[in-house]
Amino acid sequence: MKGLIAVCGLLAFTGISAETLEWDASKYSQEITPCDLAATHSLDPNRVAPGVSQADMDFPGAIAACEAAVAADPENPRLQYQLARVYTYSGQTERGWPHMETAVAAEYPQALFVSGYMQHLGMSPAGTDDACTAGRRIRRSAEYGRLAGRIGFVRYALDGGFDGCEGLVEAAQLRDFLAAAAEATGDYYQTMLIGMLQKEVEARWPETE
Amino acid sequence: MRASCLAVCGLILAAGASAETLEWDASTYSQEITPCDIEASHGDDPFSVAPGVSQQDMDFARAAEACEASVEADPGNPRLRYQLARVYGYSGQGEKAYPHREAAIAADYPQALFVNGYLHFLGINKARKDICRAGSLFRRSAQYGRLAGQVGFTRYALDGIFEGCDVTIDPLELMAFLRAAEETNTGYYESMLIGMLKKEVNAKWPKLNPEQGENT
Repeated sequence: MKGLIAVCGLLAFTGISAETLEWDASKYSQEITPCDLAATHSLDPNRVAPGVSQADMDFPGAIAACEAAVAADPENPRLQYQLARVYTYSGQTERGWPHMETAVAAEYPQALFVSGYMQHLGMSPAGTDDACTAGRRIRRSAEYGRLAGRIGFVRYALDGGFDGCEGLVEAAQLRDFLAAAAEATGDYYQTMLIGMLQKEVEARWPETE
Repeated sequence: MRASCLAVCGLILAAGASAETLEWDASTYSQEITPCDIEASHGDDPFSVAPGVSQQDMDFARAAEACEASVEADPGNPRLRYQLARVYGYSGQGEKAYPHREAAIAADYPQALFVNGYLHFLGINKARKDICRAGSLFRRSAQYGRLAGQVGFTRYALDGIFEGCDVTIDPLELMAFLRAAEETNTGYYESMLIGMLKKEVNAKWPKLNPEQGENT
């Protein structure tokens, strides 16, 4: 599915040269299912229904809805991610992880970030929390334009979270992620954060190098 | 309506923090939802009584009419004064906003303190550029627990923007602002930002009292 869904492109605006990926949601159903109504993440860029927070989620109802939706459409990465989300929120991370992996294999941007973040924090099932895998997933989500991935990857890279992961951290790409993030948001806090990260990247890896 | 009437001074109770904080008392003016609230509430105003309306979604003519009527009926209500100023500001009538901005500031309305600080900081929307007044307003909004004031004031203080101003820059207070912000916010970006600011405060003022700062 990955090959069908990912379309490579180049950021067109001045000074940005990093490769970005464009998610193609037309390859799977965009129909709103009961699973979407019960378990959508509000920050998922490819959601089709309003977000439902963990606090507001009806776990048994959401599990039933998402299991049925996934059974009916197992190739739909949005539904696979949402089933994983429900299981995770209800304390069944191990049960949800195979569905997360299916969504990751499809390169569903939200699943890339969330699974990488869980691995980074050591919240994924035992034996799956490899730092370099976490970094690759978060970076991939950033390449798909996920804001949390763009910002988070830079922060964790600066903290040395991906030290020893060959070829994972490139200063030019970090700069590109931050420039793209700055273009994409006008939020006061995010803008301030991006500015601080840009200074830190510049101090660590001066552009003239 | 004066600040002294509305503000109740207290102490931050979190371990190690000693900065004075202020508690906004919304019981001294009407909390009834007016047409002005429906048309012009700010989504981040901690004391709004209706869902927020963004600038792009605002019907300026209708909002101005609603807020003018609401303010006329209840001129001592700082929330309504702030919202009328907001409508005027968004619709390019900054000069008409001025008296309402000042009324909301005089009442110490936390959202107005931060927003007007930001207007003076940038010198936009018919507000004169006045960094020192901006600093005072930011700090006051931070003392009231407004997140944008807590992180913004700290960021700008670290940048030395308020040097030469009669604005208290106390690293212990900055750390108290950040700790209070940390306690009330768990958002991904905000948490990351607060963590980075704490590190920067500690790096800039490494001699903080160990009970109040992060290091010695």
